[in-house]
Amino acid sequence: MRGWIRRSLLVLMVMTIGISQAVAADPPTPTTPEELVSKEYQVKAAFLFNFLKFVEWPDSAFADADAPITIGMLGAEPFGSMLDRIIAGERIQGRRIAIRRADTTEALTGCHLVFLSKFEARRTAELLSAFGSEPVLTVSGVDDFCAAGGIIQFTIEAGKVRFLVNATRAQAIGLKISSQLLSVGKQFPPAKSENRR
Amino acid sequence: MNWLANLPIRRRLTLLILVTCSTVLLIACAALAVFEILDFRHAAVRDATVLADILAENTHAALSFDDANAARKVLRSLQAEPNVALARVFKANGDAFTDFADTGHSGSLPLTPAADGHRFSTDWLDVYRPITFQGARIGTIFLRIDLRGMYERLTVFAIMALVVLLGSMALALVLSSRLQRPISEPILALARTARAVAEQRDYTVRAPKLEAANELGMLTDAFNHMLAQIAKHADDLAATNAELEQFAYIASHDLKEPLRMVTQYMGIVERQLGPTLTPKHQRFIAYAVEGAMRMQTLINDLLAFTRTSHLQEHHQPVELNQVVTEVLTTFQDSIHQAKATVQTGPLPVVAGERTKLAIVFQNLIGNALKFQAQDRQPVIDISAERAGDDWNISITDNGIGIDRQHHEQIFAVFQRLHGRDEYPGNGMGLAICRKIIEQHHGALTVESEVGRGSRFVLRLPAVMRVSPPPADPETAITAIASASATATATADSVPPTRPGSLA
Repeated sequence: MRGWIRRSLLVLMVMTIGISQAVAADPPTPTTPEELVSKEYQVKAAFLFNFLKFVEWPDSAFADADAPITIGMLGAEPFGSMLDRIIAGERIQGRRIAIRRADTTEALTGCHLVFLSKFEARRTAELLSAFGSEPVLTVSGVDDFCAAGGIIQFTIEAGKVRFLVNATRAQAIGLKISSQLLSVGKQFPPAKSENRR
Repeated sequence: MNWLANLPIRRRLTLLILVTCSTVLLIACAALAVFEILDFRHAAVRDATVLADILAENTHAALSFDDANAARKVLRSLQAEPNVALARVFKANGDAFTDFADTGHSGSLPLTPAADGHRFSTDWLDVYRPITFQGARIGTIFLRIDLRGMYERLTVFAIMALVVLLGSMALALVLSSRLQRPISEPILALARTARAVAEQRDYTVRAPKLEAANELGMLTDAFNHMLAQIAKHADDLAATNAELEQFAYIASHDLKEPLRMVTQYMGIVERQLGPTLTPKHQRFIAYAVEGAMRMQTLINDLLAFTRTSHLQEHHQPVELNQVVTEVLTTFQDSIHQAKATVQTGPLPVVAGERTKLAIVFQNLIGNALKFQAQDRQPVIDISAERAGDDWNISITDNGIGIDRQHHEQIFAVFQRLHGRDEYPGNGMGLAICRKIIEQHHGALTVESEVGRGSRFVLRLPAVMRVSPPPADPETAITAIASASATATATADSVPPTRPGSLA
């Protein structure tokens, strides 16, 4: 029953995003909505993996030197096997990458990056209360995710996937975010100098 | 390279120093230029690689998150680099990601990345560097460095080097023309002294004394020492000669006196005892008188020989036609008696002593008349021909001839080839002739074949060296030694003229 609702929601999402993407696409290519959605999530999956390269966790976040960097997925997620294919065989700072999918925040304890899909927007508060003060990179496409205390929020700008970075919050919880990531993503809260540019 | 060998020593030394200097400088400049170019290329590659790597480092996030704007911002920093003309970042799949093109630089960006590394072309350097992040290749960066500015600097450097080279050579020229003097001056002084000695026969000249204790100083000292030795030997020789001649002259005179007594008293004996003497004793007295007479002739010839030894050398132009005509006049009877034919060609004017040259012709024509073959009429030919700087004057006869093995022997004193009964003579004639001709800087030779005849050739220089006779015979030697007033004239303008012919 719950799965059916999720699936129908997903279809709705796919359609809305697909239309917006198709309007903004430059140059416009004749692609089906499914392909467009699939492309957006493909990009997001790659971004998730790439975030790991620009973030440094405190040593205490790992059980030992061989412990993998773990990506947690809370509830429903749109990537399917895409992310699994991206991380397969990859190593970052010598560590393997693992994915853990769970429906409860407890089950995601020890994850280094936790992703919350838009379908699970209502669980934002739950997620942030569980990991908001831990050195966990919280990433979501949910609106105002950064305002709520999340670290990285996906946005769509001119039909392209972009992101906001809450550097102040990240620093507070002991995550070191590379300045290069900050130069590519938008700062949250937006600095005045940034606006002037 | 003959001109080099003939170059004056001063120029040659200067040239030597210049060539050495410029060669060394050129090699140094060339080596420096090669090093500079290699270093410049090496530095250009190194700088471009470092720059590309720094840029690559800063495009990691832009490439990772597909943010061309962020990458463009990174590349925009290249505006501060005046030599970077073009730059492009490629994605891992080879698609162009972001570009940079400096204003004022033309040239098209590559569409796809070439292999990593660097490539030089005429005006620029292309560099391709991989962009790797976390062990994965995420793209390629391309930079094009404009080398023209640097080449201009190299050109300026080359021009500077050329200017320095020319300046150095000019300096080397000035320095070498000064520095070579201590070497060239003494050699030139020696050469001048040697020429003065050779031309003026003045052995009192000395090369300027050198204070240098090196080979040049030694050479100059040795040269001066040699000159002193030669001068001393010349003086000694002259003194000895004078003494000898004096002795011979006196001895000859003193020898004549007893001979005269023998002849006179033999005459008295013959006159007073004439009728009482047996024919045998009369013959003995005749032999004694004849011997004494012969002795007297011998002494006269010896006197003549010693007189020719005198170094008195005051040569005047001598008309050989005249001389020969006079000599032939004295032989008029003998020529008539032998029914001989004498032909004389035109003879030149030569420099010499007339009386001595007359003695030579006297002897040679006399010999030609004397040594006649029994079976044919004597024919004597006197002629001259020019041979380079010399005159060859030949006296040819068709007489008995001389065996080749005696060709030199005949010119020695007291050498006779025939018995006195066969041909009269005392063996002094040709010796005197040769001596006289040698005093005239010439040579006397013979060409002859037994039974065919003889040809005596007088070689005399055609260039005349006429000197005025010394005022006082005592000072003759010194006067000649310092004969600076030696006049020279050529006999070219004096054509030989034919003397009156006698038959």
